Amino acid sequence: MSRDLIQKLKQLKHGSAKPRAEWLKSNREILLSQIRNTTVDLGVKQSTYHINNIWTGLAIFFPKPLVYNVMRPMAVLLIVTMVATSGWITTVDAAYNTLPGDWLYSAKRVAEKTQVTVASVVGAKTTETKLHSEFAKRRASEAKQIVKGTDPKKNEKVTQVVNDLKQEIKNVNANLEEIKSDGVSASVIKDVKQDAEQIKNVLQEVKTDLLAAVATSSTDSMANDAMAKQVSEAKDMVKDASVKAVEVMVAKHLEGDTSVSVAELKQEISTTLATMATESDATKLTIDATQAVVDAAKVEAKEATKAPAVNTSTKELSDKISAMADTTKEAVVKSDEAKVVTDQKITEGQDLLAKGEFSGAVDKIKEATVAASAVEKINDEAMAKVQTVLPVASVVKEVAPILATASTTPIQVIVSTSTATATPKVQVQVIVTTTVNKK
Amino acid sequence: MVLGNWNEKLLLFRLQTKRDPDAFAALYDLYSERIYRFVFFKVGGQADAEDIVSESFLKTWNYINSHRDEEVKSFSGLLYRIARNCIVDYYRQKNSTNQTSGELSDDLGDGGKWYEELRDQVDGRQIIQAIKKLKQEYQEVITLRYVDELRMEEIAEITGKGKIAVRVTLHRALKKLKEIVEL
Repeated sequence: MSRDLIQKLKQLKHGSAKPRAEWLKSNREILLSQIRNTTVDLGVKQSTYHINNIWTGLAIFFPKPLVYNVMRPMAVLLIVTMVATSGWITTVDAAYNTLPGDWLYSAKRVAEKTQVTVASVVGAKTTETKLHSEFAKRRASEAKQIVKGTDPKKNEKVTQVVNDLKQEIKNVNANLEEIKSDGVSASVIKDVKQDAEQIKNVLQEVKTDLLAAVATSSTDSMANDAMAKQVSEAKDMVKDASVKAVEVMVAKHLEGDTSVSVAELKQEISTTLATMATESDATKLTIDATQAVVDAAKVEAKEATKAPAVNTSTKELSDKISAMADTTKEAVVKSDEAKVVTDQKITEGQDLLAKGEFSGAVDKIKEATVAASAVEKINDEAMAKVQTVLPVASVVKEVAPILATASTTPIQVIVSTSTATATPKVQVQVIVTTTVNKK
Repeated sequence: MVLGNWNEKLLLFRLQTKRDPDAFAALYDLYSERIYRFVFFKVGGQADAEDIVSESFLKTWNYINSHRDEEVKSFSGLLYRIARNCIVDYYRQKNSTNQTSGELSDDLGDGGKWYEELRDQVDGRQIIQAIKKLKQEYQEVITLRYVDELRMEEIAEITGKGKIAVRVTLHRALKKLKEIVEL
């Protein structure tokens, strides 16, 4: 009887209790259009991946408490253990080259944080310091890749990684300070110093690329300038960290730490001073090259104004370039003055080093760093101003090495302007026709 | 049935994480008829049933999107619960006393004409009239289980009871229905 009753109950769903087919269809369309409007209003990206979706997905199939209170903590513990024992090579490799916005980037950052946490928990200060230094290198590399790329959100991403880089350097500095006062080997500091040099070079490239980036609007120019300043700040921090590393090395040596020999210490300080001297010369060359290009452009522009049917915009451009030439000239003068101070400090440092006065040499390195940063700032500001009128940054890269040779013949720089439109476009080309005077 | 459950869970996952309209459409295709029947037996009119069903689906979509951190065990359970609430609101609006007295409206569908299309017309009418004599709680579990063919977990979620309580209620409801039919 029950079975019969149940069967009859089941039959009730046929007949008028069944909905109209046309209503089902039209209602479906109406509902879909309503909900699609909802997702548009919210600006929801329907293909966004978030690492938390893994747990959301598991919570569909398993009880939520099991997922969040058991499975996720177990997964985190497993990750920590494997990362700490360097066993998770595949995943780390897969995430290694990711950039902000890539879905594995967050996994990369989580793995980094986990590594630092593990090192911190077990009290491995040297490991922790090396990790922060390594991660700072990665951020620099990421910044370089992003700037070279065509991501529309480039500005935000560069800002993000540069800020992260600065944080890593702060951590390095903090750790170096701790290493100074506790019984930790100074050999790790050599590694940090080497990393700092690499990071500095990468950041210099990033800065140059930012300045050279084609700016199609004043907004882009301002954004690039702002980012270049951020990168400059980061570079200064890295320089300071490098100097601090040398300082700690000297302090440890004076305490009797034998992990770095006297010869190695002398070599480190000597290398630092030599690098600073090279960088000082390179900075001078850059501003000189900028001046050379701007002066050549000024001459070209003035010639263009002498043409019979010159228009107002050409004349305005010529005036702007003339103004830039004056600005650059002033920048060169200031830069030369500051360079004199830098070079003097470097020389004094080398003298003190020769006498075995390591602490004194480090102090001179610090003073030279301050002076060199001032020179760099003057140059960057001048370059940024010129770049708004003449796209010289990429050209200067070609001209600067040539100026470094013993050539006394001026380089020919061709500046071509297109006056076809109301706003003349300026392009700068370098045609090198130097001959070296052989003495 | 197991595959169907996984399918629903996957669609629900897409709904929660990506707000995927296609997933919602697929769930609509799965449950629209059942919800319609559920509502139809309760409100007794085609137009009202259609309105309430539309409203229920839309409210379910809005609920899932505004409660993304909350656990939703099953889409169908949630949908039925919302549909039930919509029916309560419907009766409140109509100031009907039928709901509180535990009786269904006499107007089942098109004034009861629909059952005439059934092959076993007398039995169909008998069953429906017998169901009407049951208390509301029994009516619900009977129709959800045997007319809409829901699983125990889904009925439990809709009624807000435990699975064991649902089984017990269903057993008693069927027993009562049998008594009424045999009278």
